[in-house]
Amino acid sequence: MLSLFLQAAAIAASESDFYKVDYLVAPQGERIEVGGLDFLPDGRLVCSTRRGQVWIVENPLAENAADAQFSLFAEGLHEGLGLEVVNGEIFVLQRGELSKLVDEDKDGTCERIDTFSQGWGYSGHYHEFAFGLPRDAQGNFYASLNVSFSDRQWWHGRSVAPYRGWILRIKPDGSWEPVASGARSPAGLGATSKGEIFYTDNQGDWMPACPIFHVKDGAFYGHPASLNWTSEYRDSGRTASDTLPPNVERARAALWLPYDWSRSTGNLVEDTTGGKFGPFGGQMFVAEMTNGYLLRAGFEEVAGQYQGWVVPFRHKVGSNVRLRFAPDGSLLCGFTDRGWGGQPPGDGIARVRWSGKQPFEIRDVRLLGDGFEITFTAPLSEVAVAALARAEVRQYDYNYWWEYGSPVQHLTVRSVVATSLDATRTKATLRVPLETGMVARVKLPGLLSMSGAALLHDEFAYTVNELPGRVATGAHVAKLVEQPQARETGNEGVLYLTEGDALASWNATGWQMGEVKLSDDRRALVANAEAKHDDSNGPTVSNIGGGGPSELVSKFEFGDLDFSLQFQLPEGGNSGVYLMGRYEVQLLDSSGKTELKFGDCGGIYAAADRAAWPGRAPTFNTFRGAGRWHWMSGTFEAPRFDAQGQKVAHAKFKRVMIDDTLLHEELEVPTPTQGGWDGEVARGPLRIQGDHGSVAVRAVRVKVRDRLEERGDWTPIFDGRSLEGWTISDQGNWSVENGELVGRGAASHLFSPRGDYKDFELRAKLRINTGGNSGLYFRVAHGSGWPAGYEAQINSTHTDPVKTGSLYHFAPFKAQLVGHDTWFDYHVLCKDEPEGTRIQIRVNRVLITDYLDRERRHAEGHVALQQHHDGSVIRAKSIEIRELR
Amino acid sequence: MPRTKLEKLAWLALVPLVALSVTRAQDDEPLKDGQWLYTRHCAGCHNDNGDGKGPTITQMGLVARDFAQGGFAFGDSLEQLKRTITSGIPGRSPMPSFKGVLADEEMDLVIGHVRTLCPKRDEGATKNTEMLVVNRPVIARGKLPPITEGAKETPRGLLIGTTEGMTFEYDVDHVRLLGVRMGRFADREDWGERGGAYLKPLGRLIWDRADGLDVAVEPRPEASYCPLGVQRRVLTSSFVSAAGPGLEYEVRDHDGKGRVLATLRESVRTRTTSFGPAIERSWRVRPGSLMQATLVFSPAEAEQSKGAAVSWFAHRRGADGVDVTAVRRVSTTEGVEQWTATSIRLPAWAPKLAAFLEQELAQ
Repeated sequence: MLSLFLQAAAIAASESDFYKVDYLVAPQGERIEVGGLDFLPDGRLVCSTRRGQVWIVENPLAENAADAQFSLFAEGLHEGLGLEVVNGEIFVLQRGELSKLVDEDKDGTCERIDTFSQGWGYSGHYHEFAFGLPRDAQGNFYASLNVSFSDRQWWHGRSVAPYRGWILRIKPDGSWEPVASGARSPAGLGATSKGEIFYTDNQGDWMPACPIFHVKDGAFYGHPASLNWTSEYRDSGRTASDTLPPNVERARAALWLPYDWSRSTGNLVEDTTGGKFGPFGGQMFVAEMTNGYLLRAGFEEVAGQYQGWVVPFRHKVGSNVRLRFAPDGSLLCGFTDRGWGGQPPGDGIARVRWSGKQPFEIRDVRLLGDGFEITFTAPLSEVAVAALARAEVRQYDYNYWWEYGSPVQHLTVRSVVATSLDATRTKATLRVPLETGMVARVKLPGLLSMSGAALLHDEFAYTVNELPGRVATGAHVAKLVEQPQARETGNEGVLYLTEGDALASWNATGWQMGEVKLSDDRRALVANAEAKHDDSNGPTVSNIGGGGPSELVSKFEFGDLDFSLQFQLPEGGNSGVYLMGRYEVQLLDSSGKTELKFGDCGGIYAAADRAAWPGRAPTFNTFRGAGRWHWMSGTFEAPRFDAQGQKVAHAKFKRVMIDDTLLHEELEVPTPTQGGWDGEVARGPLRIQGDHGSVAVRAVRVKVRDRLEERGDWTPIFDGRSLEGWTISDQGNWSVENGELVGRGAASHLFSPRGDYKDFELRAKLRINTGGNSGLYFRVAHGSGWPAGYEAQINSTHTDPVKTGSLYHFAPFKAQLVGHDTWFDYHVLCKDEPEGTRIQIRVNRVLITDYLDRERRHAEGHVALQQHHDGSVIRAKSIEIRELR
Repeated sequence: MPRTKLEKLAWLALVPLVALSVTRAQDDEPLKDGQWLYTRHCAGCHNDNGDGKGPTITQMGLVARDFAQGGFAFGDSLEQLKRTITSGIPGRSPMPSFKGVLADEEMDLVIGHVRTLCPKRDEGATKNTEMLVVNRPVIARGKLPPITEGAKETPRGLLIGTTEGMTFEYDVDHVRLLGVRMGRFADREDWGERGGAYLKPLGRLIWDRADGLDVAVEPRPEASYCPLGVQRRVLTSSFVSAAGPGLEYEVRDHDGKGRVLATLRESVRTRTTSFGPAIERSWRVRPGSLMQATLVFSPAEAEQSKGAAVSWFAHRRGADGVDVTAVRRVSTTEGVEQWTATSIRLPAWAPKLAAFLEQELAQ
């Protein structure tokens, strides 16, 4: 009751009471996408942009923001993502060089660009940014080089030109040296007044969240691609693996920024304003683009390792990427969102100024061996100790792996065992047992100052690498874990749904095969007879020329699955992918939108009854334009039902991505979305909307994630060692290699030792080479030539149109379900029923063929494998049977 | 002046003479309106209705720009059109320079009339990523697309746009001229999407290295500090000065990491001659360079001759003319060595023509 009363009595305050934000006015029609900011000695501001322009701003600190005047100093640079003024001279970092810009005739424009430093590599990939540009006490510049992302496997950062993924030190004489490796997308750097350099990285492969690292000679920060340029790798000719963690000692991040605070981090600057910016002198301010946050952080050295705390400082300022303190103590924020999607405004410059009022804030945090010492900017109220005891402390860590980002792992609540407050009432101690190698997120609800103010931000996160006064553990927050299977070799288990005869897997109304292009007015897709389909993606399927009702519904049903597809839309295009026919991921031409709703591209659509499910907007606008292929992928869990059919768990989008951007994570959807089929079930088809205008898809693929039903009564027919007991027809060449059964050479069949299998389930792990053809026979009679019996066809890419999943002669299936030369699971059920012999064939655990042979053509027999022709190679890892009675 | 030159050149039927044959409007004549000026100066080729099938050009067996189609190779802004009229169009086009023929305000009037012959212009149509060259040269850097089909892209490229509508395209890593274009300057495609796309030159390629246009100043191999060392050029500066835009670079040995053999300043411009516009590159070898520089020029089928002050190279003879390069060496008093290479496309090649050109170039 007391606490309720106190909370109600808290004086409402907002960030803008203490720190006001205003925005400079860019010249008409110009987008100032800031890459670097600094001041000339005469007080004018200089700003370089992603567009390769350099602007000079007169009166940047004028009382009225509109009085600041921009003039173009230089243009035509190859980006400018770092800028520093040294002794009045302007240095700008371009992609390929550090340049000095000279105004020879003092007319306010640059006539000469001197190359100050150059020689690092770039291959031409779009993502090879060069970021900068702080200086240390010796006058060295620091720059960081982004890795590239290749088109085919964009999820793996690559370092194909020297020192991509490195931090560079550029000396005052223009020579440079690589300092540290392991960076991924190191979008910002910052120097402390002590001359220490820190850099920020961005979530992605090998970077589970957004970290801040201390730059130290020889350090390796975790992304392996950059190791290609270490002498060890260069001398041995080795290149770093995309999917295996390197055997190189990793530096630990000084800070892991909570993902809800920073999804895309820019640079960091120290408050050296001597109090002009308020009570946070000496602390670091961090730029954040996606949420438009400014964060405030502090570092301390524990057991020789930098670590520290971070708190939110200001929300929704804009797409912050570059910060710089002005001589008058205001903080200038430079914005760029281009291509990444950030908090509006996505370009321009803001000024954050202290109003002179003292905010009630967490001032800073010091880690103790058994908890935290937290300093506040104002004395706490009388009852604060009681409120301190309600502090919520959680610890978590991350996976260090090649996957894009990591969910929080090992989330654990820590209990506060004691609290105390010092005599000044500004310093509180929380005694709470902590573990090293984890981030601690601490919330302080209900804390009031003496004057009754509530904390402006009541949460901090501390990266506990080590505990002071304890034995160093060397523990990492980003923990080495078993790596997920590589996607590029991991087509194992994947079911292709649009390869080969692309429509064979679908009930299609108004859809057709054939390549497409934008119509002349760009408002529709039309056939493009000239285009040849790309073999790695298979043919394109579209609803063009249809009209009327149109949808694409898979013939197969799925529960939990991974899904991926490529799609393109015309201008104004609108479609959707319904999981289980019911839960829609929206596809929409969302070009140019910054305020995203559930109906935008990548959004999870709302239910017709918005109260039941209001939908969820995507985190980013990933739509890159009409007529372009986008790649959507995700993981979905079907709703769960108990034995009585009562739903016990909602359907869930565990992950949805478009291209390399994560849009949703662990998102439960309690009801079918609008336009989805009614009722919730355990299995359903994939359904693609086609009645809202033209849309094209290709490379639609799924991987079933249902738990394997592991019953122990399967009997291996092939023992993995020998072919003892098996018999070979004709001139066959069958052998066992590395535990695999291999058939090659002339046409032949390999028959199981027993020949009396009748009713059974048969399962095998098989692989057919590219262009190969084989078959898994059952109830087959021993004999030369093509033997008599049922044959489950094995053929992905042979010219025979009858493909894997078919019951040869009875139920041909003509789409290519399995990638070429890829392991797949084959499952056959064969059982006599009153009306005939029931045969079901499953590929990768999905039922493809269900056939009833009313004539009961084959009663019993061997299990056999076919060797179809010389040049074909069939492999089996296992062949198991479970007889039914 | 023009008249005497016209007499000298009368034997050359295909030299673009239109500009020289018109009489300049007298100062005391009243300013004519756009249509009158157009009929007088332009309609011979472009025709009264602007369809490009005027009587003069038809006689030459060619077709001029059809204004009704709306496209202009060199841009359709007022500045760009004025530039085209002032400079003419170099290369195979007979479009002459009207410099000294039409006064500045007369050009405005002609442009006003030409625009009435064009489809209505959509002001929003120019992409906001297009870079324009207006009243001074512009240098732009970025990743360049392959200059010709099958060539490699240039990850670190540089374009110099001159006010006459020429674009000199360079590979920065090797400080090599890749080609010269004519027309609009460049589109910054790399401003779109996530960045990293091309800085796309918009002009039509009129010269490229495959044409054999490879004039360069190189250190003499025998004078090299390390004869077997690999020489490499390293960019030190790019500039837009009063003398024109250009680049400064060092020639170093040992794969670019060794001693500086020479420091060179290469500037480019479009030079107007009475034979039409020419491409001109000049090199200054900085005094104090470790070694003297010499000029190498070796297109496969070049034919060399020697004038009084220049070396002549004629190359790529074709049905439409011949590409000719004149190279001059100028040694200035301070010991600065300077070279100039002027390239022009002519309808035919003759020693007599060389003498006229040489006289003009020497000025």
